[in-house]
Amino acid sequence: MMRILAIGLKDVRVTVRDKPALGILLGMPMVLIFILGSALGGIGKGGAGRVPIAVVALDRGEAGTRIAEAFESTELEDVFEAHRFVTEAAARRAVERGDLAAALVIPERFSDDLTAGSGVSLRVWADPGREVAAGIVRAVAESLATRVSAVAVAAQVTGEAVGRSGLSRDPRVAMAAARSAADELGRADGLARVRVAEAKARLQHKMTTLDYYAGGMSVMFLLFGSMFGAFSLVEERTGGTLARLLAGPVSRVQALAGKTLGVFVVGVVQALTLYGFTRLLGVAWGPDVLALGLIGFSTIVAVTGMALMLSTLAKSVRGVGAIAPLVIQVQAAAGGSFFPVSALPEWLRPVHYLTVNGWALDGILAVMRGAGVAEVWPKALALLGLGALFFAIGVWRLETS
Amino acid sequence: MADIIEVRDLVKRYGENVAVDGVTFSIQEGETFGLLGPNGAGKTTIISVVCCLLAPNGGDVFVDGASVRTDPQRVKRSLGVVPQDIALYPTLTALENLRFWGRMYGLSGKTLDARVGEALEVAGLTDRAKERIEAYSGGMKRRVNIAAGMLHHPRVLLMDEPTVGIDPQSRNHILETVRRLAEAGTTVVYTSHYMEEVEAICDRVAIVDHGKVIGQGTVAELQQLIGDENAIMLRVEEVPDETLASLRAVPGVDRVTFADGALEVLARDTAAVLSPVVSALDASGARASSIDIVEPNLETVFLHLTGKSLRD
Repeated sequence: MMRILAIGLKDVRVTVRDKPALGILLGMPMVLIFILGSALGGIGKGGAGRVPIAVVALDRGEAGTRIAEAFESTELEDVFEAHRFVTEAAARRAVERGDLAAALVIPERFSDDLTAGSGVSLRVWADPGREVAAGIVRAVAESLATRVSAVAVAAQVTGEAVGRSGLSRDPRVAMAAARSAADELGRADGLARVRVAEAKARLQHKMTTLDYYAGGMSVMFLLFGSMFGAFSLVEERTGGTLARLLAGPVSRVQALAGKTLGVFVVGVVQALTLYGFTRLLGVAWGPDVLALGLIGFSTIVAVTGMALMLSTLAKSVRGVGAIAPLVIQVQAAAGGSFFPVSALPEWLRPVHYLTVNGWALDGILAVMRGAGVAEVWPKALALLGLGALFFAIGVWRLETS
Repeated sequence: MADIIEVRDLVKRYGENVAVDGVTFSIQEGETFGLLGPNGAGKTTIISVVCCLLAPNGGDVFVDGASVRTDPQRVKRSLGVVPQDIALYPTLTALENLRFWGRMYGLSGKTLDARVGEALEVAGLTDRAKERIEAYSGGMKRRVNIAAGMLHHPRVLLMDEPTVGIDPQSRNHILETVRRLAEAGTTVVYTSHYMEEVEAICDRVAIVDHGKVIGQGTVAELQQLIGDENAIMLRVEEVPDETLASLRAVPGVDRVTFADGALEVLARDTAAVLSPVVSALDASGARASSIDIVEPNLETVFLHLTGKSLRD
């Protein structure tokens, strides 16, 4: 155990003295978070492009169908990217995952209740971190609801007028009915029969762009930690120090455990430093520190496994230096560090589940939105699984090379 | 004295290439043993098998009775290793490097402090212990490289080409260190392609070429292999093959080699053959810039055994 600790601490010391490495691991994310947060802080996530939403039409009546179809219509296709969901629960999960900005739910018997004149409401599950996008959904839903409500009221009043007159085929009756309807439309309570009830589920925290990029950049630069970990492993191999270790009473397992510990500790120091810095900038990492710690720990484990795997992809530091940034940047792009995953084409989005970046950022954003350990443990498990997979690939390649 | 290292019929292959081909030798405790041979002869491979970094394809090596095949951990506990490369961490200081390597050999606390201090003194770097290795000269790095291998007072110290690429002062310092270790009873296995070093410090020598031991014994015993044969060493820019053939035809010349501007002619009576050799060279138009007559040494032994220079 003493040897493992000594190897790990030696690696931390070597990394601390490597100024270019420190610049990339700590300096660059700090600068990028600051710049991106400052430049985009007021825009809010999802402020540009089509808004990805869920439409859950539990009502099969005319009014409900009309509202659902309106969100999918060509008039609104530049604004919304509507996805039909069968159940409200599934749509809500998608919003909580951050896949969608909001979910519009048209409840059962919406049309019937509307026609009957009883109070009805549409529900919107909104991501608090995408206020602008969710606001657009709310505004359009309110507008549509108002229109549908007005038509329903007009029809109801018209029917009543026709009934009272007994002249159902007389055009004047229709005129009278229309006038009555118009009068009715002018009454506020008539328009209020359909309400848009907004719900925020368990996601109470309002996330800013600064928060988003603090998470995104931190995860991406934690991944860069794997590159420097891989450099350290390759340098140990090519510089003869690994052979010297193994020629002494140090086993392969001890050497590997020590190196792994070094990468892990560097990752922890990096994560804590970035956390402290971003807290000073006002980034809110969510109320559940334990959940954040769980995601952070799992991410660093995955990064450590990745370091070992990357170190086996090339024989020299230069070789790893050519491969690792590519692997990391692709993961960062697909995993949401540069822009929300929802901005990607739909067919490309599942790729983020194959990346450390994707799971880590999903977890961090969920914690920022208020999720706790009970919600994020599957993401932590996925990260640990990826870490174990990378580690196994690394060990296998070391054994066979 | 008992044998502390026994190498038996050792074979090591890299694919089709046989790097070590049935090598056998033994080393007594307290002895300074040299492995002499040109680059690529197989010396480092032999050392790598002895310190359990490479598994043998055939034969075995025993260190203090423990087999590298069956008990590598016991073998490694007896050894200190000074690798050919400078296996240190350049951004750490000499002190930090030595403390790290001491910990790897299980040293801690006051023992570690004392051994590190002692190693720095042996390396002559006590006053520069807190400087980073990257700021050191090649010779100073080599000295720390050696110090790191002897921190734990091993019974056997394996030194693989420890003087490559350093200044004469550091070389002398290292050779003196080896002598002191030997006086203290440490068994030293010293590989080199510098025959002067091996002659100067080794009690016994194995000459290695193409993965085989082609001669072994004390320096005096090896020199007896060529009897009273001396070498005429000439510096010549170019020697055509026909001239080499005519030199070999000179009566009394036993062997002729030419490499890197060095023409070597082995003969028992160098005085008798000197004149016809120079005449043959003159006839071919080759001009010698210097001529030396060298008495038997490991260089001439190697030449005698292999027909080529150690520098080849």
